[in-house]
Amino acid sequence: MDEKIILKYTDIPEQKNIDTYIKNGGYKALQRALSEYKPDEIIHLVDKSGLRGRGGAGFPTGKKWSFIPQNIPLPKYLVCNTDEGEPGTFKDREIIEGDPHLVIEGIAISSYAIGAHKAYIYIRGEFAKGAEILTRAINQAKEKGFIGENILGLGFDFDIDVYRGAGAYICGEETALLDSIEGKRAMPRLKPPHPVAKGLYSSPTVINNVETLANVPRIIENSAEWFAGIGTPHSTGTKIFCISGDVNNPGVYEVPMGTPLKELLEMAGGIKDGKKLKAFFPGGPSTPILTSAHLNVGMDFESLKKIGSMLGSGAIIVLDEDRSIIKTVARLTEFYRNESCGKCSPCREGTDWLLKVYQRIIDNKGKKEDIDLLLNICEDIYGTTFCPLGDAATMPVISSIKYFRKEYEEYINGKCSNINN
Amino acid sequence: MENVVTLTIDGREITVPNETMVIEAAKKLGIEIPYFCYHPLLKSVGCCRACLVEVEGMPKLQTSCTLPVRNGMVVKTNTPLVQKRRKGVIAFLLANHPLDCPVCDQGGECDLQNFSHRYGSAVSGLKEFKDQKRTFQKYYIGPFVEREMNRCILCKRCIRFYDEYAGETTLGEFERAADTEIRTFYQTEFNPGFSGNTIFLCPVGALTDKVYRFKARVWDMESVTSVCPLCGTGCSIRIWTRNNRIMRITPDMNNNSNKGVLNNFLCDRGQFGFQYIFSNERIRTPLIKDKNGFVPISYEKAIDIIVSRLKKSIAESGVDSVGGIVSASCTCEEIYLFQKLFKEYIGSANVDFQSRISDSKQVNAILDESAEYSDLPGSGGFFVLGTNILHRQPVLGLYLRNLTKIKGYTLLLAEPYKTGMEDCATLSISYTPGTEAYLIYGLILCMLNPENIEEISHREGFEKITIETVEQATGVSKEILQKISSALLDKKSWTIIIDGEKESVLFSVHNLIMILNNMKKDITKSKILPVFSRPNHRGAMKIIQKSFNVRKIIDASLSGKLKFLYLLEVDPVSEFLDRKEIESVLKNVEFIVAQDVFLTETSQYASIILPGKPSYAKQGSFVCSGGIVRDLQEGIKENMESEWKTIIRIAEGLGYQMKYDTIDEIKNEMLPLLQKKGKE
Ligand SMILES: Cc1cc2nc3c(=O)[nH]c(=O)nc-3n(C[C@H](O)[C@H](O)[C@H](O)COP(=O)(O)O)c2cc1C
Ligand code: SF4
Ligand code: SF4
Ligand code: SF4
Ligand code: FES
Repeated sequence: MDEKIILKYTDIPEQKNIDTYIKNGGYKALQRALSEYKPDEIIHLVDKSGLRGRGGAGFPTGKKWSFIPQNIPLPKYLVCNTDEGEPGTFKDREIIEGDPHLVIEGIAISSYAIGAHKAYIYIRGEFAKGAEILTRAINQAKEKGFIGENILGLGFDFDIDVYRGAGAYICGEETALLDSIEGKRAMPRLKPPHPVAKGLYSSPTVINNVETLANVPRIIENSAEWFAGIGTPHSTGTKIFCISGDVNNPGVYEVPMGTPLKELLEMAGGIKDGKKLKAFFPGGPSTPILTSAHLNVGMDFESLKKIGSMLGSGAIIVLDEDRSIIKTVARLTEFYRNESCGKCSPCREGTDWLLKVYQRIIDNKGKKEDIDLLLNICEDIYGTTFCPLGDAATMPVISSIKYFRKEYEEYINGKCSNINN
Repeated sequence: MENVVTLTIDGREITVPNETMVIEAAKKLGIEIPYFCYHPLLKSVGCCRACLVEVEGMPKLQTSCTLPVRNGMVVKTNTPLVQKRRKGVIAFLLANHPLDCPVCDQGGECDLQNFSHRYGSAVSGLKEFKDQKRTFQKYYIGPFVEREMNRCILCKRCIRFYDEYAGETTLGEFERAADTEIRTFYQTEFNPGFSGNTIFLCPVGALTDKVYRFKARVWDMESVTSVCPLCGTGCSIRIWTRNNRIMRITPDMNNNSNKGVLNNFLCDRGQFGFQYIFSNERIRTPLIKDKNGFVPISYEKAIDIIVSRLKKSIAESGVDSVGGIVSASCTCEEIYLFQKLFKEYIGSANVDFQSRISDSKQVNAILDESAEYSDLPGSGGFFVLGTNILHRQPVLGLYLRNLTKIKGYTLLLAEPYKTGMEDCATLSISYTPGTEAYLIYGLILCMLNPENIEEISHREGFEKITIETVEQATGVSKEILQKISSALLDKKSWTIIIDGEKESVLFSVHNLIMILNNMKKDITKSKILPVFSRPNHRGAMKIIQKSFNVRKIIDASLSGKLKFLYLLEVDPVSEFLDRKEIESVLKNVEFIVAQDVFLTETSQYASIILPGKPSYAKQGSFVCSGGIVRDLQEGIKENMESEWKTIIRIAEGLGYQMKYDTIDEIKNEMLPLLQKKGKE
């Protein structure tokens, strides 16, 4: 398998230390970026590399940066989204804890590219260790002059703050995250204006995922062409997958974009207890479920889209043949029911309603009409909500009924074999 | 034109200003789109999702309350998809709603009820989870508003009202998802002041009127539009009655065409203050003083006695031995008849209103150029000086809070004490109480070269004033004075808001404004907006002209010249500045008629007391602080004789024929007096 890009050094415990990081080639990219490139050249480079956002939506990173207006007298901000709230996702933590300087370097270069002199790392509240590691790393970087005034004597002033999150899934949604940093209750903002035009403290702001930013130093170190050569034509580079559920070796696996699911499952040691694969979420529960029929799908943005799902955050949740689809989806529905921020009625009330129906089915009081009721509720949620969380909540429901309607019917009729799993 | 766009909604074209939202454009075409969170007085948030529409070229349905119009936009408000999703949204809102409509005070004026009747068929699945609807704990949030969170649809209008207007962070959302609840922080009470507005903003029965609670159903009541009498703002109110009894007072949303109205909010005083009319201490019949105190007499008899005492005084001591003081809370028509009786018929100069000191001509000339409410949005900035605006004219304060905090207007604030506007001000200073005139003079000094000052320093007592004297008197430093004056010289027009009852301040600010307008000739003129405690101060000022003033009346009575005094709804003992003096004045007058709604501190000095009507039972007009004539309608009928008819009866007793059958006849005769100079 190809070389890793981001998790290359995370197995070395000393990598957290700035000296080790530098010994392994660290902060060269920053030096190079500041001395050899103008900001817009970096944007161009990143654009050419084909790098797309790893936070879920896959928006081209260079393009996002290019939207930052440069001719207005407002400060610009970069925010590194480390909220990592999607169930089954644990890659950002791995990067932050294993190679914090890589993220810091990525943030510094990216900030330079968009003209930001201040960046925030919004880190999930529960990641106490990650916050500590980052803070220490930032202090080391300050001592060495990688953060601060006139970095490396190259005329760029730059500072980073670590902001510990307030503990809700919605805090990961970029505009809610901005409200959270501003000290407000995290709720999505009306768009437009988009954050690139009016973000943190009403100033132009770029929000990127940790993994996205961690790729940036590598692109500078190597080249845009090198990066674009990895993966598939429209999904370049590598992707870190978080494999969890019924596999023998759950964990993070960095592979080139487009790697078939089958290979990833093999890397994770195959299905537990020699059982068969029943279904999997390719990118967290916010992406439609797929089944054993999709074993050969390439894990990249386009391939997954083609078969009606999404790459999402790269959280592969594996269900073996004995798992109850209904109970799994009911549990996920409970997650969305509790994590809906409560702002808009379809999501707030719709998820509550969905959960009530699931609860009834699980309590063996389900009716055969309940399956259509679930679908009807999802139909009225999908596309009518304020932010994508509402849409996401319908994904596991709609897709599971699509592939496992029979199991729903059997469950309701009391004839389901794996009712207890 | 550049500032308008043309779009098509349901096949019909419309041209609207370019910042209009689609929902508003549709409304102009008479196309109804259901909504819950949208409100014309609040910023759109797009959270209820009821107002979804289809827009050509946009893949997803759009919320029309957050969608600005664009040229060539093609909107469809009633496609099958829109209808279906709309039903879905309403079903969601009903899913956790208790549906306790029969016991809900909102019944009949509930947006959820109305829109679900019109647009949403109840989904069958809804009824199935009846016993699993969310419930919240009740708690006390104050004397005016009842909170029933089970009915809340989380439109957040209440929170937004506090955020965008009232300003205190009183309300917030707690918990998350379907457990979200609107609560006051720390479960405290609503800050009083403006809490009542949340009642009419709340589209459902989650926040209801505690005073009105369970008293009537909407369809059992009658209502009229009138004017709030409780300060100078002149807010439009709707008086709701049942069996000739006021059940509640609400803002009057339908009256936004009226130039005299700031916005459609009320303050708690205006919304709940009417309850005094139910008091047991109201005067219901005429009373006469005898050895044992006051005893009832008939109205006829009272008039007879009043007339004969008047005749006696005039015959024995001349026309200047009689006089009257009228309240600036009386209507223009009452004041007009009152002064006509004394000045025109009797020929006495002793008639005035309240505690005025100066000659009205000069004041009127200044006020004729003052700002109207409709000028305020066009003003570049506001300078509030010594008025405690939130207390004196609460809704004017509320309006300014919104303009400054949300819409970005500049506010300079100078008050001796904290007034609750500080958080909206770009610059907020305090000064020694009573030194407003010095302060203004200091600002003028900062604006002008010393040579020019001569011209304006003709006012008595100001000849020797230097910036140091100003600093000393006001406690405000030169630097701050310079800061304010340079702000005032900024390239924009200002509205200077001051206490209209302090005439020395009025004159000083008038000087300041003249200088400002002179120095900024190319800019829209800066103007004064006076603030008054009484609803009809400006009307009274206009109607009672060329008179002697209260000071002279007081002097006349101190010297024993005044024998007869008619006090119409005015209570000098508690209202006039020098209480001791006024008490000895009243003791000196032989015969006093006091007409009022209540027994007051002044009543004890009266020989005869006549009952008065509250403004809610009057027809007539007020001139609000913005200088606009506002019409009062009779919300209730009270069976005592009206003030205006009483005046006519007294006049007739003296042999003068006042030929008016209706208030309108008086109004038509009086109106020319209210005309502003140069605006005929
Ligand atoms: C409900 C919700 C939760 C989200 N949570 C995260 C998160 O935890 N981490 C993340 O990087 N992006 C999250 N996102 C996506 C962000 O809004 C945003 O698109 C992303 O951070 C952009 O970064 P990228 O362009 O690098 O992908 C979430 C989005 C939604 C709607
Ligand atoms: S869809 Fe609506 S309720 Fe759900 S999280 Fe987004 S804004 Fe909040
Ligand atoms: S209490 Fe009323 S106004 Fe406030 S959010 Fe609930 S429904 Fe809306
Ligand atoms: S501001 Fe004045 S006029 Fe308006 S409601 Fe309050 S008391 Fe009445
Ligand atoms: S009225 Fe538009 S979303 Fe509520």
